[in-house]
Amino acid sequence: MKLPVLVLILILSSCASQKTKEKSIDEITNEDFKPVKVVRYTRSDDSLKNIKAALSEQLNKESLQRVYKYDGEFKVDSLLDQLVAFCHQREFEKAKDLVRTHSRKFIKNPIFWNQVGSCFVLEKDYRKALLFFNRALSIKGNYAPALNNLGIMYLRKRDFSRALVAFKRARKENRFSKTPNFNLASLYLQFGQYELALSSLKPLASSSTTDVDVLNMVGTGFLMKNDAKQAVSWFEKIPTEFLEKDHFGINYALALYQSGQNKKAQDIWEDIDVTQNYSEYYKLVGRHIGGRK
Amino acid sequence: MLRSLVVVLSFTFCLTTLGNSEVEKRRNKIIKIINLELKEVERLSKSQGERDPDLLLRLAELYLEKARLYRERENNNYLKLDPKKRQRVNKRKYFATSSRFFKKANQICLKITSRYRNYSKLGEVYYILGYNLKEAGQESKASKYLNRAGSTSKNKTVKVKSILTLADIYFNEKKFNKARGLYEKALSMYKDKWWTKDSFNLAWCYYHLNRPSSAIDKMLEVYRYSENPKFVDMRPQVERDIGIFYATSGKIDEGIAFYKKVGVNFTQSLSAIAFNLKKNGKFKEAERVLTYSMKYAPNANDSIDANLDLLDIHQKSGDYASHAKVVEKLYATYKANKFSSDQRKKFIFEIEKLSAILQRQVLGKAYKRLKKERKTKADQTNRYFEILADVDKSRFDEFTYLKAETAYAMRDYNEAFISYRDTFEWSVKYRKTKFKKKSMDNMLVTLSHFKNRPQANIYVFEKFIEHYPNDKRIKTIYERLFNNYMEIKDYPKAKLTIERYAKRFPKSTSQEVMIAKLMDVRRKQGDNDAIRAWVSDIEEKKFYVSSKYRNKLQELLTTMQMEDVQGELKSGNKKVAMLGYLSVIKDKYSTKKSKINAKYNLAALYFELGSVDKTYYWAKEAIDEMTPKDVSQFEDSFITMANFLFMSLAIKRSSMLSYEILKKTCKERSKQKNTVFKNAGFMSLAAGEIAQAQRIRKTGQACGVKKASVLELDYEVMREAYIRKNYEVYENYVQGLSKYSSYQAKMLDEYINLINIYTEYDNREKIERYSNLLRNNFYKAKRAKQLISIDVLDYFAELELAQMSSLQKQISEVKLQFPEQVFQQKVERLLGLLDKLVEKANSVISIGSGKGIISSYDKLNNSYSYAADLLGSFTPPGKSAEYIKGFKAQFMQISSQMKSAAMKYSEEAIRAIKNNEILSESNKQFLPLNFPVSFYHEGVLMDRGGLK
Repeated sequence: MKLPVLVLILILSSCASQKTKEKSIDEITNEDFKPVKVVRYTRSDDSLKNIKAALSEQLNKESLQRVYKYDGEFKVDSLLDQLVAFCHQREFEKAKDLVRTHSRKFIKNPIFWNQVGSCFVLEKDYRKALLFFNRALSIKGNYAPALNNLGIMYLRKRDFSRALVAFKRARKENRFSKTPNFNLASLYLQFGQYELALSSLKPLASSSTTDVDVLNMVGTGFLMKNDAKQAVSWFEKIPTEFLEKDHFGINYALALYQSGQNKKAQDIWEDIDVTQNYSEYYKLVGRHIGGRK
Repeated sequence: MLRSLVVVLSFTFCLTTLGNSEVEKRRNKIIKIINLELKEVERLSKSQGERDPDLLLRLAELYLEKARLYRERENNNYLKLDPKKRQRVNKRKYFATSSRFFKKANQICLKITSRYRNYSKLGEVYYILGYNLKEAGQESKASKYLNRAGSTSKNKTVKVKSILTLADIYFNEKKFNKARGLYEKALSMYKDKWWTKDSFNLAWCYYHLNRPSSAIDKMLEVYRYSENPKFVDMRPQVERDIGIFYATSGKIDEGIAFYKKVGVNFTQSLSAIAFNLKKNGKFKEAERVLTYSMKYAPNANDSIDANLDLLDIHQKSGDYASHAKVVEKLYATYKANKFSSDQRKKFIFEIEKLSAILQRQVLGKAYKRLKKERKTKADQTNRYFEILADVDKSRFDEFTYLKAETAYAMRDYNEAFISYRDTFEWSVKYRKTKFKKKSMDNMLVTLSHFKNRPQANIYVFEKFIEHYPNDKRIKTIYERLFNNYMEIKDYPKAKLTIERYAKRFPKSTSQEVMIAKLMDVRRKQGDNDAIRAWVSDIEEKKFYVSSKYRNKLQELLTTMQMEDVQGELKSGNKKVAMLGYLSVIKDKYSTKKSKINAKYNLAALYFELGSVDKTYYWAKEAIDEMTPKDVSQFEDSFITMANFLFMSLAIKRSSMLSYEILKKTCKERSKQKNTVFKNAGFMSLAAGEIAQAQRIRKTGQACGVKKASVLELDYEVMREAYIRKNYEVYENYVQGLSKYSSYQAKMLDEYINLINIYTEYDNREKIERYSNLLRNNFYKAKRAKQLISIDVLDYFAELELAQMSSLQKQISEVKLQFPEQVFQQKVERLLGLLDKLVEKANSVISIGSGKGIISSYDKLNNSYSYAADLLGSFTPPGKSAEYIKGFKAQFMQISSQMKSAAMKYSEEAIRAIKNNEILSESNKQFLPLNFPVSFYHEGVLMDRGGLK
């Protein structure tokens, strides 16, 4: 599943790399001075296509972040696609080369500059990220992705209040964008605001969804609400292999426990691969459900 | 005696035929006789007391005769004098003796006329007086006395002589008609030996009165009478003069016949006749004679001579048209080599003579207004000069020069120029100097009358330079020569002229003017190579120009280069334009301005290409060298370039470029200054260049950037310093920003940071200082309803919560026990602590911290639940069941109320969490699950807007 994506990226990246080296005066021709055809913002460009990734299904039109995480397929067929691919592949230098080469083409395109900002967020260079999100917003003042990503930046800086404001603003500016709702739900759940979280998840949480994060969040929301049965039903839509991950499995075990399925809860709990971030919580739940490891 | 005197007076020229010595002897003899008689008559007159008029009259006659003879001698002597000496001598003194005797005669006569009015011989007295006056040149008075003598004299002889003397006066006065009448009257009255002489005069009167036949007849009569010895022989005179009559009246054949009789060749005499006529101003007659003579000319030579004579006559008579015809005729003869040397000389003389006259007339004022006549004269003059130049080749220069002068006077400048040129060239060829310089000078003058005759100018100037290299005008001539080469667009020769000029006048600033003109042409031709060559020559000091001009020239060169490059740009050949700009920069002759221009344009072109490195390099180079005003003018472009660098992720260079713009336009007015400042500052921070950001901040402040913008950057620098744990810088900025009310609320967060920092370092003084600042400013901000961050609110809530925790702890430490009094005290303490907790909770809630609100409700809930349990579960020891029942019933109610309160606080918390969207970890304590469910997601970056 990974292979086709990588091949495509390599082809395009090699093209991009060739352009990064500046030509010497002898190599310059009058053709090089032809004005760059500016690619302006269009709605059709403002949506990811050619993605096959069921596990991140709900946000596949808006974000590549989880596509790679969950080994989805993404066919790159434009420079914008290439840029987003490089960023999420953490091929930052290639992404920057691409930006250097094509910045003038996308000078008026908020999609491009938002993407540049996202790259810097992924690179944890928040000051630069802020400059480029601002550039995107200077082109399109209500551009939801840039607003959302500012929220992500605040989130990373643990400035939850500002993150909340940013996500809500992003949601307001584009009522049909799913990512701001996703992030809001995530933030709400982080602080026990299950009702708000479930409300935010409504646009995402269709019963047929295969998006593991959405399923996980809905399950967690119901768990917080003490509706263990509902919670379990949502958790159980998540592929089994994911339930062995602490991010999914711990709360699933808790929900099973709360629904009276103590044994299963304990089994699930025991099968979880715990990471550092979840170790304390894992133990807490374990104690609560009587798990032994 | 009288008769002899008259004869002497009338025919003085006859004496010339006699020998001088013979005449003198005869004169002396007569004077002796007269003196003897005078002596005798004077003696007689005195003896009678001078009362006898006859004696007095005789004395007068003798004195008159004596005076006549002396006058004759004096006259001869006077005429013998050298002409120059004659002019110098006193004529009166020379004729003093004769004049004395005339005067004596006169005095005596006047004495007679006054004393003896009725004297019978008064006619003779009047005659003497008249004659004396005539001799004295007083012919008018003489005529009066002679008239009286003629009318009063009873003596026929005196009467006749008086008439004849009067006739002679009229004849001399050319009053020929009056003279004719008197001669005819007198000649009819007498016929003595003098008759021939007086008739001769009468013949002349006829001639002058245009009666040639009468004149000839009278002359022939005189000739016949002269053959008779009784008459004065006038034949020589007749032979001399009758020819004139014959010649001028066209009776040549008769003349030939007459002269044949006397053995004279008349045709040969005609020339002499003509000469004499001419001499006497009778030019028409002379001309006529010569014309007749040519018919009888025996050979061509005679004809040439006659024509040459005719030339003189025409000249003297002013008949220039005829003169011209004769000249042409003679010139044709001359060309046929038929002139003798003398004839050639005379020919030249005659033409030259009239040429001079004509030229004077042409040049003079007299004919200024008579244009037609003047033109005719000028043409004739010029023709004569041409002929002269040909006939007398040794004087070609002179005649051609004179011809040029005439043409110039006639404003025929073209002809004048040609003749001056011919003169000059001839002079050069034959190494003559007399007219060489003059002709050159006048050619120069003539040129000034030409319009658009550069070739003529060039010829003259080149010759001038060749022949007069040291003339004081040479400098101007060089300059004019150059201008003419320019006019005919012969630029190589124009350049050559400058080079020659520069060698001759190495320090002349005129070189600069000439070079400028030639340069201007090259400029229009776009001939860069030529201009480069000039610049090179000037640099090598081949030419002398001012430093200002040298700079200007360089500027011209580079301007041309720039224009070329701009031209390439316009035609879309940007690659060539780039190379052009680079060559302008490399060119050592390029001006600073051109280089700046080139650098700017290179930056712009590389910007077009999307070249980050080169755009930055050339833009910075251009800004470095540009004036602040120019940078300000191109500020928008530079900002665009800086933005391009930013967009190309060259953030540090974008910042540096913005900084360069800011520095350069520091003192300029600019709407973009704040933008440039913020771009420079924020991008330097984004590039991690905090020190650079601080420099930018300092520059911005010095350059008059808005305070708000400076503070904005200060704030970001402060934040960056904090992130980088550069606490010293951080603290400085915090202190700086704290002074501004607009930043007071924001600084609360920073105070907290500083408290935390100094807590780590256990710096109590600083902690206290910032705690005080925090507290004071927090309440100020609250009162001012300023926006306070959640972190600050949480911080203050935490402080209050700590107190709540303390109370909570105290509550949890309350242990109920009996006796009743103790129990009562414990319950009162418990309730008091709960009251305090509520009070504190209100205080926390009023802060507005979500975290504080939730925690305070949580603590109230916990404490009330605890108190409810404590009171509800307490059983007094050692008391009866009834007591215990009553006790329990009482406290169960209180406990129940407390539980209800606890629940209420819990519900308040849940409501606050939901309504205020409080993001606090404490929220989880109010989850329905009653378990702190944990969830974390890093959030999802949004790459696209998605479907709408």
